[in-house]
Amino acid sequence: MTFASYQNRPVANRGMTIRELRGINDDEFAAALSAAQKLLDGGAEEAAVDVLAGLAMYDPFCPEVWRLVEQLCRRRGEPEAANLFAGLSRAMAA
Amino acid sequence: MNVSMPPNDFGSATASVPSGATMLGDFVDKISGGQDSLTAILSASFQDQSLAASSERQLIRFQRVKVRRQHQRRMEAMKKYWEALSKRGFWSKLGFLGKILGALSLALAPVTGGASAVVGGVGAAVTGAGSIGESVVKRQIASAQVDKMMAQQSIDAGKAKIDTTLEGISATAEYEKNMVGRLQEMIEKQHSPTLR
Repeated sequence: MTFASYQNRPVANRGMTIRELRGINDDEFAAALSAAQKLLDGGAEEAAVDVLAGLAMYDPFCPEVWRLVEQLCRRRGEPEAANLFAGLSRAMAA
Repeated sequence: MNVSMPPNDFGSATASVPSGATMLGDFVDKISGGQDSLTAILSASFQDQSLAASSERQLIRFQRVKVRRQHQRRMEAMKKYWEALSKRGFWSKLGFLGKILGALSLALAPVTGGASAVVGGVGAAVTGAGSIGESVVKRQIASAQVDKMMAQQSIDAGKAKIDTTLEGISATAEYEKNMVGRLQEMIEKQHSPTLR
């Protein structure tokens, strides 16, 4: 979505998330999630954090984002945080 | 929103036309291409909310229309987990979680009409820390600001925090830049002849 088209939308219908403001569709978002998974699997955790932080900011209501953050926490040895993010993921999926 | 991930074909030796990588390219192009900057888009969004704030009745109507029932349930769940995460000191303990939580706080800005000022406070404090994920004290200040502004929930507070919110928008753009930078690196590596 461009700035101009955003401005032309009725106020009540304007974006709920930054992802929507940016006009990112499901396939594109899924590709970015897949990239984050690949970074995690490859041990590139710092890069994964940057990507996941961006994706969480784009769409905090996407359960997959929090599932990956949960994975990250488990890899970092933070089970309590991992459990919270797992719960968040389930809540967003409900 | 549920999003199922496509086959993970980054770095795959067998994928000749990787659909996931193509989509990732589209994702990056859409963000870093010729479209308006995130700062411009979010500034416009925030200005809408500032205008709505000129009338409390108008603001309430705006939020009622904007936040659907299902979305409201998710918001309530989000707030519950946000409180649980922020109260347990993860921000101060772990740099990587500080970054994730910072992103989450910024994400809530365009979601609710009154949240811009709240989230802006966090963004400003995080930005003020110099490097996200490093300053314990700054994060504690940010957390305190969130609590204070959430308690206020007033139009006046929203107006008073315009500058702070704009700083929050700046922090949002920084998160986006970091994400896109990492994804571009992935794409470049995949297209590098030496790495094929």
